[in-house]
Amino acid sequence: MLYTSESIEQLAAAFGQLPGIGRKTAHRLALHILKLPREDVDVLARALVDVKEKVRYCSVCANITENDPCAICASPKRDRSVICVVEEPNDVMAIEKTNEYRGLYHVLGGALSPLDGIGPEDLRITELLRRLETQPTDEIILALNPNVEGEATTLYLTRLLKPVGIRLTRIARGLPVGSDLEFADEATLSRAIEGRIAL
Amino acid sequence: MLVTTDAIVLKSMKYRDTSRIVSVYTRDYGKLSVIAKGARGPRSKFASALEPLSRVVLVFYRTEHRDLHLVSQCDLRASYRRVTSDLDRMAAGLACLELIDQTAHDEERNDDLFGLTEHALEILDAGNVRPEVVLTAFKLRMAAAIGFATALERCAVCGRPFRKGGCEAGWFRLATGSVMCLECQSRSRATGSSGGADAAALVRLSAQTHEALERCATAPLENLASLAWTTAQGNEIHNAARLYLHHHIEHLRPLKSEELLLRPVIRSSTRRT
Repeated sequence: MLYTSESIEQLAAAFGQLPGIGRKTAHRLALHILKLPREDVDVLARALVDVKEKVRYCSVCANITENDPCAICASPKRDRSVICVVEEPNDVMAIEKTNEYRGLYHVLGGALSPLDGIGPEDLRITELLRRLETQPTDEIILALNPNVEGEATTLYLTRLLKPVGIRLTRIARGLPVGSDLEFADEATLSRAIEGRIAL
Repeated sequence: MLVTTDAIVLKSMKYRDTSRIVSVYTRDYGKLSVIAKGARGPRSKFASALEPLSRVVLVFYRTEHRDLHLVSQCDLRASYRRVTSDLDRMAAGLACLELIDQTAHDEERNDDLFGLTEHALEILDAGNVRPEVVLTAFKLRMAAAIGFATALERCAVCGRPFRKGGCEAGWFRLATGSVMCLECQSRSRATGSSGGADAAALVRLSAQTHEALERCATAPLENLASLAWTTAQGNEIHNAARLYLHHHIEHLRPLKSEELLLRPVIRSSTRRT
């Protein structure tokens, strides 16, 4: 039985498709939209359409951008001899927030996951190889997630890129800053010990 | 009811913002799906224990007639570090998990299959036996554990053993998992009888391939360290094991992890001189 209106039900159904939004939250959001001033709703609607119309993938690094190439690839201030390979555009944002890294990126669009049917051909690996043919590169940093999929991708890329003769590195794994040793799990702690550095 | 069991994590997928739905193969309850709430949070108590290729002690609320059970606690027992640090070993380990995921039925206990999976991962982790050998042995033993054991020691028709001056292998009969010697095969061809086998369900085996398959099926896994094969033999062995599993297990999909193991990496033309 329809308790509200068809338009609200449609809007709630659309919100319900978003990640982390359940049926109740979707209805709450739909009713909140109803209370908003017309101008705010216009801004929201325009923003949603703009995202779809204007945002695309950078033809160089496959990061999300409105201008091709993206601001990072086009910047003359970036170190063009280093490429950091990441899984998703979110990872670029996370690394950029550190203000530590001044090189370029390459977004693979995921990680190898044979159990989910994701193989090397589903990632932007050939694009990376093509890029290395044209762009002189001294170092490739593999910054993939510390899980089985990220590890499989790191091992695969290492086997693929080792013969190319470019310096290959991976980001360190270990304990988060501000945490306690005693609460760290065995796998994280053993990797932290394995990746210890000389002082 | 809160229950505790040994489990091997088959696969794990993100659920909502912080949770995970994990497919596990347990010693006491067979294959199950469990939900670990808050597992992706930075201070999650499950941490790395719910990654595929982990052996854990799982405590969960088992609810009858439910497809998804709630995890209460999960302690890591083995993370098989050496498996996850080598591409070939990892691909073989993941292929074993793929096979379990595809063949094990939900909530159907099979002690032999659990023990085999656990042992295969331990052997892969020890690193003495080649990954492709462990995977082939796993396939043949898994078939045995679910009721399709091979019988490769002697000819299925004349009964003579293949080793020590006996007859020569032969043809692998997919329907029975047995082998017919060359002599019996040519005799049956001459008389027009197929020895009870459908000609389409026969795979030609060289003597070396037969011996490798027999060792994979029967010798203790840790004793297979000396076993190795050429590319041609490997293709023959891989083909025989694949056809045998496909003959007996309906809807078996090709193993993506195995493709990763067998297929050379994408060729690069960027080699520097």
